Amino acid sequence: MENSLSKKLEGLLIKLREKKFKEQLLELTIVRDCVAHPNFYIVKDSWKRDNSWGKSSATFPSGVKHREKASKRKRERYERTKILGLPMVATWISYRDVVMCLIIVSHFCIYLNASMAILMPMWVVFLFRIRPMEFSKTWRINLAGLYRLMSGLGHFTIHSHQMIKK
Amino acid sequence: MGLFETALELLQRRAYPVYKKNIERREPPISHGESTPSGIAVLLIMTGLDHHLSRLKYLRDHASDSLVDPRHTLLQMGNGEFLI
Repeated sequence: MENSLSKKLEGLLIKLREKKFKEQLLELTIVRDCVAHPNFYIVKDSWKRDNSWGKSSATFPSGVKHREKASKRKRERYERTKILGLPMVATWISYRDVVMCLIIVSHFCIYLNASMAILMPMWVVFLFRIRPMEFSKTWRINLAGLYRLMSGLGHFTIHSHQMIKK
Repeated sequence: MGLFETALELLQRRAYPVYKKNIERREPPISHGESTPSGIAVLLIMTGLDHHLSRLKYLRDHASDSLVDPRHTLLQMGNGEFLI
């Protein structure tokens, strides 16, 4: 319980076939760290001739480096993670990135439920059991439905006797 | 509300309307109206996951002996059995 989330994930996902999944979850922790422990970036934005946005780039000032966990999982030229391509600059995080984060976390909870008999949070149950076929196609609409459902139910604390499957 | 629910609310009420408005432009720079609630939502989701795992570990390793068993003997009575 006293370990960090990264240590917990490394302890839970130890099999060889779980390696990529573990890396994806660790990338999510890197994005979390970008928000919780923000770095100072030099960001360059550009405009095209027709006044539309060009490509943006972000670099560290000289002498500043990423932490070891982040530098291992960063793309060479971009401030994005290797597998999921999530931004490592806090101001570049978009709605789409968070939905991807939600999907990975949901899959993790479902995986824990299937492999280790640990019950998943109720919001994951709702996310995948209401309209599982529609989720991948129209996740925006489904997320709105999920939110409405959650706000209607009011609370999501799981009672202690439901937590552990025996 | 819990961490996950707050994250979903931020996502749905704050980030999604801005995302919908700027849907043509999906590369950085991201509007602050979208990036700020999205960043906080990531923070809340991962903290929520951390909390969930810690709670499960506590319940499994430390509190499992003291949990009340919902399968009470009174509920497992068969036909023809009576309370004395």
